[in-house]
Amino acid sequence: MRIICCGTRYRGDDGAGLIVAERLGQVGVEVATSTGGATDLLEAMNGAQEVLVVDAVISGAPAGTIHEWRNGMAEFQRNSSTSHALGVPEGIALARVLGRLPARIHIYSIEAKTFEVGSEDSAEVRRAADDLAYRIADLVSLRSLEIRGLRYSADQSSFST
Amino acid sequence: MTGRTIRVDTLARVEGEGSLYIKMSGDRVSDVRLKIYEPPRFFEAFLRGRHYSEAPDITSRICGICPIAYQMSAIHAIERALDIHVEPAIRLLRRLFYCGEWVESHALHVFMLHAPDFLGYPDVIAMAADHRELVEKALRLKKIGNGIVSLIGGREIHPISATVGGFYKVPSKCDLEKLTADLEWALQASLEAVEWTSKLDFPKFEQDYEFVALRHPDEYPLNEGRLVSNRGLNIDVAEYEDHFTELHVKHSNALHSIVRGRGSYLVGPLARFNLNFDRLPPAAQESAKGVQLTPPVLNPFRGIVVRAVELVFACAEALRILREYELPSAPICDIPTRAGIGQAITEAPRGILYHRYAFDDRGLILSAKIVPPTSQNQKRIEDDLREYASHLVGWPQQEATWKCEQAIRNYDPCISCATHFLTLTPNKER
Repeated sequence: MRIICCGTRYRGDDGAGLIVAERLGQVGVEVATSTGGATDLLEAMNGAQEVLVVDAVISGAPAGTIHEWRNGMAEFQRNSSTSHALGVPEGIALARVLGRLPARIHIYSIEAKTFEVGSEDSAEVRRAADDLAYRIADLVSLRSLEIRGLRYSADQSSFST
Repeated sequence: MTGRTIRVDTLARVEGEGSLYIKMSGDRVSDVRLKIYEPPRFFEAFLRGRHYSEAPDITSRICGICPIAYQMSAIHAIERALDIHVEPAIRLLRRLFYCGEWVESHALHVFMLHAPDFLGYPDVIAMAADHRELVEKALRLKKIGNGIVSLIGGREIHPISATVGGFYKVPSKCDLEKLTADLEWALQASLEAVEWTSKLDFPKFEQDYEFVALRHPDEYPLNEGRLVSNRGLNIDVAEYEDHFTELHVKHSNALHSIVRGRGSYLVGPLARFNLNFDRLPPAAQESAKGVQLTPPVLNPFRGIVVRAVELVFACAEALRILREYELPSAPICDIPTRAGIGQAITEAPRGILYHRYAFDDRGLILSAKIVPPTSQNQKRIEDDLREYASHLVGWPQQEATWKCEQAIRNYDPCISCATHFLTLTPNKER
């Protein structure tokens, strides 16, 4: 699974994905970073069977809310209010048209409080980034166990072979 | 007399957030407002008190598409303040770095942002279904541009190697030669792009522009040159603020730049091409002449062809540099410690980018000023729209709106540059 964290520093919570990347890096999880521009994302996803994308989001939910979108991408409204000319939703849609979409894709987005240029990231988003990094690191650990033949059952909180 | 309003609340296929409002009475345009939400003014305040060495990295975050332009303008301005002159190999490397960014930016705009307008698609995703090879070509070109930026800058996204006095790390000749095959393909693809774009259908629309661009004694401009125009301007870049000024307008956060005593002006590919055609390498000149594109080009819709010619330039220039490059004697030259003030202009893909820094004897920034190309073109875009909208009387509303948006996209405006976020429609199936 390839993890792609999107964002830009010095623009408030726009860097949420990059905070997650930093945290994951600290615990040894390999992460790619991207601006979140469509072509950058396409390139970052290239050749992967499964990707996990982390980005900032505005949806009206409380700041720091973690949204999780699994596989189906219909929920991503491709509209022009993304401030990248071509952003993450367009990158995913374009990958689909070009036959480059990974077989499995998960998107985590952190609800932003502010994107003000030159502002610091908010405490809510920093906390959410810590939580999300922990969840992703956990997921990565479970995956590595799966690779070694162990399967985790969330219902029974146990491993089986 | 009938009235009409054209309103686009969020402009599509431009970098950043902006909106458009045009009010017409009969065939007379009474009001045009291109609204820009986010200026880079906050960055200027953000820079105060920081060491000048941070400026190239911080300002490169202003724009996700042209970070090299911001790095280069910042570095040149600071070097001017410190009277630093880098050795020829570093200069060549910077020029190659910039070529990479031009390839990335122009490939994105020509094929993915502007082409859908001419081919009648709402966006590149719809276009890709019918013109897959065009989009694949754009992606490959962009990747080649990324490859140059990544090799020299240390990484693709927000490159980190460029610094005041040189680079933290410089590539070997052998490293650069690995780019040759890709760049030869890119040159061929760019030549084809000139042919292809020249055959698009262009509205009949010409304006009497004041074009402003850098001009170098023997090169097509990127990092250096005097600032010139077709109305007699010919100044050192340090005199920029004596000849240009910015005006607050109520409807926009961005300031409108004007030439003092004259008004709006145009920066970017059209200006560079018209003022520097004789400085293009032979391959680019011949490709332009081959499609009857010679200065002065006064139709902004033909900017897509000019961008394709600049793609040819960037690839040909990059190949020349690969051939001539020799490892510099040191990656970074000696840097004096002293107070200073310095200005620089470089040619971002969208046009001239002005930076000015003043710092104290500890190197701490006292003031910074940044004038990006889009704010310089903003008044000119409105002037175009004022004229162009009057040609659209009688057009259906939807088509007239589309045409006005296309007229804005002629300028490849980079409105907020780098902030990105998603707008979600919650899905009840979750």
